[in-house]
Amino acid sequence: MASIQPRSFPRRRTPALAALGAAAAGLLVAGVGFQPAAGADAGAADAAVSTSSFKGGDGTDYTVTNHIVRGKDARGHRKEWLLVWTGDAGPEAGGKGHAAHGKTGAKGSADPDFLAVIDATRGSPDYGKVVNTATLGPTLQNEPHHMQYVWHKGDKVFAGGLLSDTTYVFDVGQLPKIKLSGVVTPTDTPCGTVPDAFWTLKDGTAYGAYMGGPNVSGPCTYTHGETRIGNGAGGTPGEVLRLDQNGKVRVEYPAATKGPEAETCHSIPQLDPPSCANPHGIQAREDLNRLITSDFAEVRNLLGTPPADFYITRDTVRIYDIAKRDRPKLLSVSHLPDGPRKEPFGTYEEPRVVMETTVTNERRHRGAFASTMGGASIFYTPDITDPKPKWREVFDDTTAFTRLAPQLENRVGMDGGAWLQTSADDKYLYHTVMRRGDESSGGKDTGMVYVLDIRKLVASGKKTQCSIDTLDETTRGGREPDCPSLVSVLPIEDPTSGGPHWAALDNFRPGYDGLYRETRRPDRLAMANYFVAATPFDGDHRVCMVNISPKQQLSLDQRFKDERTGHPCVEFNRAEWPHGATGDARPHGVLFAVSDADVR
Amino acid sequence: MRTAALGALLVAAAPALAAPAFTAWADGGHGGHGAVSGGGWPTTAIRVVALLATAVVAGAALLRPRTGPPSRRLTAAVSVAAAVGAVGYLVAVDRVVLALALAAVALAAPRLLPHPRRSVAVGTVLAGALAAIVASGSLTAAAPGPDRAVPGVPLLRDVALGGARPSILVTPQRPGWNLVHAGDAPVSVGTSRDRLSATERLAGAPGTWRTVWLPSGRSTLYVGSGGRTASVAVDTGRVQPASPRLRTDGPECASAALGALVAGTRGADVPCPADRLDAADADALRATVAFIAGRRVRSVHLVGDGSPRSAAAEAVVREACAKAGVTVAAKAAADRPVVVVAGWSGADATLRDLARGALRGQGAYLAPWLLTAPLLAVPAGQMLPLRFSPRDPEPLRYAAELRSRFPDETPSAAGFRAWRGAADTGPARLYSASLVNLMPPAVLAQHPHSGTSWLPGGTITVATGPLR
Repeated sequence: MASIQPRSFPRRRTPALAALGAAAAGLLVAGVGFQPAAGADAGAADAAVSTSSFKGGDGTDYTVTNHIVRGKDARGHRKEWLLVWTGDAGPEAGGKGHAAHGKTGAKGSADPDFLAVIDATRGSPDYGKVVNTATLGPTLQNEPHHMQYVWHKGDKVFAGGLLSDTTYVFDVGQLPKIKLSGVVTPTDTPCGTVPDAFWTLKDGTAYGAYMGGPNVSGPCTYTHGETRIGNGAGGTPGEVLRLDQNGKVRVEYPAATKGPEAETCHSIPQLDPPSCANPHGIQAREDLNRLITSDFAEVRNLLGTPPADFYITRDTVRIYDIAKRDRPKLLSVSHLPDGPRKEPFGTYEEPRVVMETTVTNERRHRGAFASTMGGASIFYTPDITDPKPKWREVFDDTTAFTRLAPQLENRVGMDGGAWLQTSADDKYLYHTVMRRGDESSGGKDTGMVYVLDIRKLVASGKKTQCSIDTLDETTRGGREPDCPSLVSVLPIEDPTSGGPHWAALDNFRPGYDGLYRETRRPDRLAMANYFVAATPFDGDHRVCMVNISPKQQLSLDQRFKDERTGHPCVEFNRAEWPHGATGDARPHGVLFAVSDADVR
Repeated sequence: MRTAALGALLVAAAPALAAPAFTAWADGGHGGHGAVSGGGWPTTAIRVVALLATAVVAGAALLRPRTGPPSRRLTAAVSVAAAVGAVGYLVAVDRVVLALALAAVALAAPRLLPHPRRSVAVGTVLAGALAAIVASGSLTAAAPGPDRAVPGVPLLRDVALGGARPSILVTPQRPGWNLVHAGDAPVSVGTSRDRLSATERLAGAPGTWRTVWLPSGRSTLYVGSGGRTASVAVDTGRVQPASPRLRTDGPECASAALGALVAGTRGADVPCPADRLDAADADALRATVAFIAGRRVRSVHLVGDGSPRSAAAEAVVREACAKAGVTVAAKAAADRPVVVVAGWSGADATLRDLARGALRGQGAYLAPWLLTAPLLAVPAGQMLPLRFSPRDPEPLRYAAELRSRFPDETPSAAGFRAWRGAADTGPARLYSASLVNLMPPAVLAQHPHSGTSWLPGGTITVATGPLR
């Protein structure tokens, strides 16, 4: 019977027992060494990978690598795409209460930033799908920021890295594939830093606004021999660039006047002569030979030491003559007027922190708008060819917040008013606002996008009367008959510190032959909920599509869904991307585009 | 009689087997040496008891062929030991499957004692497990990790204070004055539980700091926060006393030590950077002067301090200026760049003066060792010659590992060099540094920085090509 029990240790069993013991020991040791893998739910999708490169002026080989995934659309429809200029969220993602897929500890020090290509074709089974992520190398932590405001057939895409002081130029002629056409390195722009926004011209070249001062403190000599004294990177004065179609710098032009600007133009360290030149928003009217930039702030500042100085935030708009495209000439520096609100902080006053400017487009119109991020207001001047343009406040964000929540005390100081864009037919003005202001009470911290009817305003020409000069007008809108009227407000709830910041109008519409054409009456816009993580305002990292009805009523496009969650808006906080399991990402600039072969 | 002898044998053998593990596990009570997680003295005690019980059960099972059929008393004793061991595994072993497996094997042992072959098998498994634990503990004891107090070597600890576990660094952990470094949130520290002092900011240094006098050899440092106090065992050994320039150059020295500790090396062999001028840094300073001279600048203002490195750097800069025809002026002026070769503390004062306008200057050219966020966050137009980009993958990896181990810490040139174990040999380029906050101060006050950036809330970007 097998149950006979030997009295002595069976020697022939020793190896087996030893093996058993070793296995147990191994199990233990394995247990000691086992650590759950970070991002264990991650895994790179199957993607077609291709790379293009460009040798920068600094000798670096810059690359863009496509990771194109297949969609469900087998019918070969011509596609419209949404380009989203996106930064890796880094290992700190998750620390602000919104991110679900942050990298942990040292494992995720940084991953590449990328240009995401999303299927934006209405009716496509892949509507909302991230079809390509074109990753950048080798520079990490660019802090992708803005691109141009609108893309036309044949244009390159100019995309700025706020923190890397680098601008990338992408060829999008064969979307969803992206090619790298050029790179503007920090050493290519010695007189400016902190690239912000771009405006493309009909010839495919672009003007760019660089907010910060020169790479090196002291005098900097610009392309045509002008010299300005600057206080260094991130300081003052910024500059205007003209780039060729591949990003080669044709012109560095000083945004600062040669002589002193207003005494309220403070800098740290203080410049002599003083200047407020920190251009952020930038648009042009080629037919009028005018370029306009709006000054944001000297972005290099320090809390506490030296003491806070709100005059570091700017209230100025600059207009340049660009009759000679490569020889811009600064014509005017205008200070926006103060409004009726009395705020606890100077930066919350109406004219402060002029983030954006947008021009009218019709030949008969010469006006332009400007919006303030700190002051939460919109300003207008009827004629940008006027050597001394007069600006007036024509709308206060309080009116829109009051429409959304009349029962609440809506204080709008530092509400993060951002993207501002006229429709191509000059009938409407669209504006995103990140959040209710700091001084608000009650209710949710809700951002919004709204649309104003500006037909009467722009039609009034130089006889413009509209002016917000009483507190009542800040909540009800201007009394004068030509004041903009609020047509529609769409609240955008973002539970984080941020909210909607940047957006783009869809300037394409499919024609009877399937080819896309440009339209002057957009029927949707795309919007990203992210500002800059290094500031107090981050965002929930969603990209949403907003429908615009013929009567300009705004509504969230429920069909533009995240391919994974099935919820409206594309979620950029996700574990996996076509390029791998790199976790959460930050979408900033957005732009509609169509492959060259698919657009007239 | 045989049972009594066996019992004596087990009582003698068990502590002998468990002793090495005890040595390893009893120290500190955190860090998770071996297969068990940390958790303080109660957990350590449970681990030790579990080990002893395992030794008893394994010994009884393995000796079964020699001891004959077990008596009731022995079976009862082994059953009790197995139960104790099983409970211990479930409490102290942090891998659930492993704990359950060990518990099951231990509990099966008493029932298998009547069967010699099965008994030996079970005993072998338990002995193997025990050996693995002991070996793991012994190895750890023989080569202590970065958390173990080693005389004269900077000590990095996570201190359990209620729900929080702030990191502290004690450096240089030598007899005399030492620096205790904590994160941005101050903690109280001292050598007497009743007399603790809060850590505070030091000029130009990240986090908070406190100088503490430590005696030779072993002693206890107390750390308090939120009404709770914990003790940390320190051991200064009998080595040379601490540096007298602790408050000025100590934080940079600590940053180097921290870099080495994060990298898994000891930090003992990392010299204080301020003790001597590195040849590569001297070359970078010469190249910086050549760059300044190339901008047709006629004079510079030079700021140093009394450290050996600074004195040597001043000499290098003066010599380079003389060669380039640039005057080193005693007074600062608006059109005169300021070259800073002081340590962190002195540089901080100079940069703040520049930002305030108390010191005029055309930008601040910093020595390479001044690459640290608190100095670069002052708005003074800083530039510095570096041989690597802080945006490159390797420096970012260092930054990530550093923050992972010491959450509020920002990277530094000294820390990166120590973490990397070697200096960069590439050509130096000038980098400019600035905050890019985009937000007015009233809003910034609400926002803590995070991430792996070398300059949180800002940027360090290349400003020139290779310097010659």
